[in-house]
Amino acid sequence: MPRKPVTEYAGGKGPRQLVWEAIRARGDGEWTRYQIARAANVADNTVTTYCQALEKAGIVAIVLRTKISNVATETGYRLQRDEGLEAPRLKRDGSRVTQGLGQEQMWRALRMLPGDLNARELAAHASTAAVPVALAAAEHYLGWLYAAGYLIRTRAGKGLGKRGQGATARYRLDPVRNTGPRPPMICRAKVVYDPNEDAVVWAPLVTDEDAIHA
Amino acid sequence: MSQIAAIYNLELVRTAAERLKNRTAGLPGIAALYGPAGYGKTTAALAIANENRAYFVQMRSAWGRKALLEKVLIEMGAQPHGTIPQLLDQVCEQLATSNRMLMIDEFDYCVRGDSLVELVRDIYEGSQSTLLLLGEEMLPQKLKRWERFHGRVLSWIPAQPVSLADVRVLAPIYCPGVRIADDLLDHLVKLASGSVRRVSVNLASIFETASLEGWDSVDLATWGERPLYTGDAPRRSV
Repeated sequence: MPRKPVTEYAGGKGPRQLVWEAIRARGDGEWTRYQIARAANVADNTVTTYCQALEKAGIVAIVLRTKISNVATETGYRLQRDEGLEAPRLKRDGSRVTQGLGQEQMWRALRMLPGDLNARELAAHASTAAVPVALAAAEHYLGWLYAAGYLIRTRAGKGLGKRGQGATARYRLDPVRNTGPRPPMICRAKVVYDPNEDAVVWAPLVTDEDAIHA
Repeated sequence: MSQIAAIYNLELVRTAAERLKNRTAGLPGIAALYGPAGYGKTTAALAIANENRAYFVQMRSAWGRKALLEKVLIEMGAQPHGTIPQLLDQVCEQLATSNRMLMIDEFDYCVRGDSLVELVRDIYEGSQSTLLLLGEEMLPQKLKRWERFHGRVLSWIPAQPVSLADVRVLAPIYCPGVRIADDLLDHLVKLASGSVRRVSVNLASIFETASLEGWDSVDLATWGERPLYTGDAPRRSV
């Protein structure tokens, strides 16, 4: 089954977050993947793949293997290193996921910096050595956030067709739309989803016209 | 690849952050960055926050203890509920487990009375996490009143005034594609009286003028008598 879009998750929590919360709820106790899958109400395979990654990252450890039949063993796990509220974002080999960090950094920059900025300044302030933010990424993110009503445009862009002429648009975060620490996401379905509010805050307008001419 | 705004203050804070993270057990875990407004404290803190995924809150004059704890919890993505001691426990637990740094900007608002200073010390003691405090020039002196707090600061970092080297780093970001001669850069540093913000504003305005005039490079003579932002209140002309 394909993965559900983030907008479909109940309470804005993905399956891995639910699994992580179920694991944390057990504290130092021992648990099996089956117990976690039932407690979090997610598919068994989701727990299995996540536990493989968590184990490789050294966050959970296997403490017990019980042979329960000729072909099956039941594995007992224990939380080794609690990493807090957020479910660790891990790849299959246990390394950290970096996807999405660029937008998180841009969102942090918009929330922290007073005054307005353009795409180039945003890219410069949001970049780190580990996760650089490209100018195009900053332009893209600003454009979408502006469309979704997060930003106030303090100056419109003008005449950017020719090199060395015109001015880039400048934006600042609308204080009313400073919704929280998690960056608004631009989803593949061309909607803007705010994980802080667990809501789709912007969706393209589709009219009867589109049905005819699409 | 885009430029990183690697001003000198950023290097100072990064060194301090490294020291905090790699401190041996028993050493205090708080750093304080202080200096006049516009010296690039928040900009430097932003870069470090991005590198470490730190939690950042900007203190407000209206906040009491509960408000501060609630704002920190919201930054952590938690739902704050309960009494002040319960909120404190939640903050400490999340800081200790996630191992992320907590930054408090405008810390001056906390040093007006005992309650907030002691609360921040509680956060530190309860989590043994790393804290970065940002404040105005007099912060170290003000904090001396609380000896137990003062003693937990591992490094005091005075923010440095903007230098010619900083301006050279900032120029390609705020004024891309225009070569600015050294005499004009020097002039900008002098006008700024230490403020990174003023330099940035002036670089942006040079860029705008250069685009209009079609300049590829600009020096002090080309710039001439055009106005630059100094931050001074306007003088009366009549």
